[in-house]
Amino acid sequence: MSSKASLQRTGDSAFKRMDHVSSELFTLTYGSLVLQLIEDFEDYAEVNNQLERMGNNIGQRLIEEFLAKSRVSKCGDFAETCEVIALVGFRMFLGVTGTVSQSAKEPHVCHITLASNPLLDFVELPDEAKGVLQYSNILVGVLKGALEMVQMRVDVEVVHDPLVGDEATELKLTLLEIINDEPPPDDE
Amino acid sequence: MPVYTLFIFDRKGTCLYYTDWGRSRPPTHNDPEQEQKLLYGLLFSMKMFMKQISPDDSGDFRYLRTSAFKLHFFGTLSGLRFALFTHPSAANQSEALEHLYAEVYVPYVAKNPLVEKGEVITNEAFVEAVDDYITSLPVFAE
Repeated sequence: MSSKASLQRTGDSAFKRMDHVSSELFTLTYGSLVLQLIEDFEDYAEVNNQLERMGNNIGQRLIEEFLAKSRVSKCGDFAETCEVIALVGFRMFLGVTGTVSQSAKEPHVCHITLASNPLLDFVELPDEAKGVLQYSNILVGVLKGALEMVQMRVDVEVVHDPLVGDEATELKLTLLEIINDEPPPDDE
Repeated sequence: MPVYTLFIFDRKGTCLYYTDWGRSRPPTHNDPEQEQKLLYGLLFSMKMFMKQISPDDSGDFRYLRTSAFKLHFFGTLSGLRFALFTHPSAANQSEALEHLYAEVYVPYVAKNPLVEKGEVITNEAFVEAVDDYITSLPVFAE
């Protein structure tokens, strides 16, 4: 298993290989995307679904760039996968790192805490959206989509959100299943 | 030392891309699809074999050499498989295949919104970039 320090170095060097945009531009673009979805669907629950769906599509492609630029090797267990996501994945694509916590009783559940979440800068939710709109739901989709491509079916939830008064963004990842390679169909 | 053929497969075994550089023999049974299935079957079985025979399941094979050809291999964690056939005395090309993945496949296919997942690649820019890269390799000129 790779140590945290070496993952951090991997994350830093992968970050340097990425194309960069201004984080304000990114935050504002994401904000206007969410706003547009709210105007189009007029239903916060549906906006959550749409964000997750978009994230899923992003994740399925982003994993290739992630693998190509980070050159990480195969993870030994789910906890290591989460460390890689927190220290390399988030660093590469959002420029931040997360902290992983896991309870020994539940090896298939991991929590990733992001002390700073660039999606949320300048954002304030109106009262009626609090608790209904999952503003960072795109991350849920990205993680699910990306992990599915490396044969892990996971469930992701935003459990803490600074927009409703929590201290930091916290994501809960639950490993549901490892997808096995399908053998090629029988040839007649 | 000539380079013969290149195959790219996805996780489901679909041959996403095939190209050749003047191969001397027509595809097996004159049926390219049959040939792709045969090769994918081999790559798949090799992976299963190594999973069961290695002390840990992280191993991957780099190349397979016969007296007639050398099959260079590179696989990604996302299940893509790159296979390149060359003359048997060519040096190992796994790194070239890794470069092909990172510098050609990712920008032209993974990051291209017009390419659907699991679709055969017909994108001209990709075709050209693959050809430029492979023909620029020292192994191609030797």
